[in-house]
Amino acid sequence: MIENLTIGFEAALSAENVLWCFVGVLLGTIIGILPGLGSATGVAILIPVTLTFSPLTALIMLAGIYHGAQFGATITAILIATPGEASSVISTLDGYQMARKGRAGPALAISALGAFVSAMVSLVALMAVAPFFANLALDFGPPEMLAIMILGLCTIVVFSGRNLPLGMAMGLVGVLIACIGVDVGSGTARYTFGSVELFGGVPFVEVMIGLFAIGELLNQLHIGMAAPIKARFRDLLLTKQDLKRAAAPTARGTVVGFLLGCLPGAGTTLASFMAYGAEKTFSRNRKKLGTGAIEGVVAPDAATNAASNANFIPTLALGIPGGATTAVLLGAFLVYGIQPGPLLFENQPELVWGLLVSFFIGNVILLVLNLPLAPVFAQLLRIRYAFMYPLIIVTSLLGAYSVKNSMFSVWVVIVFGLVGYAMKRLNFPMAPLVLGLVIGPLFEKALVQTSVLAGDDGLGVLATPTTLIILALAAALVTSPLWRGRLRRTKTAPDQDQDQGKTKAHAEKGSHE
Amino acid sequence: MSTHPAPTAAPRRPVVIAYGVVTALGVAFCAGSFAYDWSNEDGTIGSAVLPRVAGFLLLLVGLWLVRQELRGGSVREGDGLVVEDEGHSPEEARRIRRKLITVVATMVVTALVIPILGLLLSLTLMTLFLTAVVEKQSLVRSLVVSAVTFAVAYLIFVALLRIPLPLGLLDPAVWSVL
Repeated sequence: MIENLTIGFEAALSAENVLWCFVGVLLGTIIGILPGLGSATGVAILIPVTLTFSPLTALIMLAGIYHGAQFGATITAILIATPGEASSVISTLDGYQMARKGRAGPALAISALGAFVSAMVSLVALMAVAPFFANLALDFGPPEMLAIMILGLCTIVVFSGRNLPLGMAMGLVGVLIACIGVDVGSGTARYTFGSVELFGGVPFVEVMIGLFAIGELLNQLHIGMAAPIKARFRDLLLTKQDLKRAAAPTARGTVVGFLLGCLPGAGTTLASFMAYGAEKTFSRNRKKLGTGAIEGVVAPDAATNAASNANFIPTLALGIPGGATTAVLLGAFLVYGIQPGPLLFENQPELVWGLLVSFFIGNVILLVLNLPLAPVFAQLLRIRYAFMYPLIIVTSLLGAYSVKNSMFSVWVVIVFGLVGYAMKRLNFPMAPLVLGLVIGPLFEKALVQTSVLAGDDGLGVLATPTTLIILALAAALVTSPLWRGRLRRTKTAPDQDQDQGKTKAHAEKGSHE
Repeated sequence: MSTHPAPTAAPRRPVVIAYGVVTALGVAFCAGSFAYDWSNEDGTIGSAVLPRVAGFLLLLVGLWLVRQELRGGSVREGDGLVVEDEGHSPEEARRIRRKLITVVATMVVTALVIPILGLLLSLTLMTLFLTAVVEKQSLVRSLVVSAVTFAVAYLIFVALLRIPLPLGLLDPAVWSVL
């Protein structure tokens, strides 16, 4: 591995490559900040610009855009509840609450730091075990993917708060919205009412922009416009306590993100949701999640970054894209005449290891660029809301239009903005709806593929060890409110007995006296 | 000790209506799924399965929620709570409602005029209207904000990313035809 790393550093550490990596990261951050323009769109738009570069330089720049966009998307999610990418939706839950409390600086800084740490750890894992995980991912057939999707749907339980039926209802609404469009199994157009625009389904990114950006904006106007936040400088910096609280969530987020990122098609969005779900289950401060807890910011961002790196495992080792952006990057590989697959590591070690080392460089640039800038970005909240909200509308509508160059996207943003506003007024949970929307199509695809595979076996196809373990995890998650309550009662019962014993003894002693 | 508050409060009309809408959505999807096949010719799962099952489940959960609310048993804290307009005088509440309607109407009108004026110009005019008329900021300041918005949007979307934004009637291609 040392030898490979040396090859990688020699290839990537030229002045030209570092410069284009910097440009990529910077452009990526700008693209990420703009709602609607995700890393996939950014990479696709800028591929023509890189055609005159050498393949390695071009791929380094495109990978820089990918990583930059992941972080850029979190900036607006935290500051103005406007997620730049689908994977940063979950950052709005706690990040925005932190910003409203005058802690936007620490939220942005911990997001950058968590993302950096997870990127470093996942890159080491990627370099060390890429072929192993690639083979493992190959063993994941439709039944295993179906089990993963069931596990994903079960996390709705942890996102539902105190009203589980309402959370379930929102999750089901998300699944049903995802049913609109051409069905993945038979190619039948469902609930499209003859509209060609709906054939591709209700566009996810536009729905997110509407629900979160416009919905929050209308809500702010309703409650009397958010006052400018003038935080003290020391409140804009990370404290030791913040770092201490962020350590375990970063580790958990990295593991969840890396494992899900290895699976083709699971995507970074699911990873960020699952990481948040893991925090809701395992974090010491789980009760504070949703009210501006640092765990709720750092874990999803760590998971997103780990997943985006792990996405390269199936992409490079198998030639199967891990997510939307790696699918576009795969196209870029082919444009440069590179054939990804098992032989790529042997045939073009300079390119592969140079690219992987450039991820290190890119993430260092990202951290150096964004950590000192976090308090500066936080100053955005000092702008009066009278000027801020027209700008949010402009970026939301412009970003939505540029997803597909279609006016339909603009209307979807406006309609779902009103839905988001109503949900905020009624305090309906949005996370289960988004989760249903993300998992719905993946779940149906896995269901159809599993049914093809099952034939006459029926449910027997699910009886593989991996599937059963994942389904057991899902069952444990669904029943967690029951068994955790029972566990808590069993734990407190002896204490209460002890307390009662003490009181009784005290009373007896008192009566004797 | 139960963590839920005692179910004593009266049902809240907006919440009942919202739960009713959710239930109706379940009914609509479930009923609509009968237009599609339950299974394909090869025996695999058809396009009706997911919407019918999810729609039916939503119908059941929706009815449960309506029943819960009608019996005054909703969770009063956290999810399902209508945020009250506390601290707003009736006059203030009226003003806020007017502003909300104006902002939503402005967004709708902007979307309608985009095919005529083009995207960037429509959004710039929208910014000018919202800052100068709705927010009653000084005209000079509003003009500066609108101009900066136009310039930044043009730089990023048109000059840098080369996204073909609609120009409406200002599109030279329209004039060349005439």
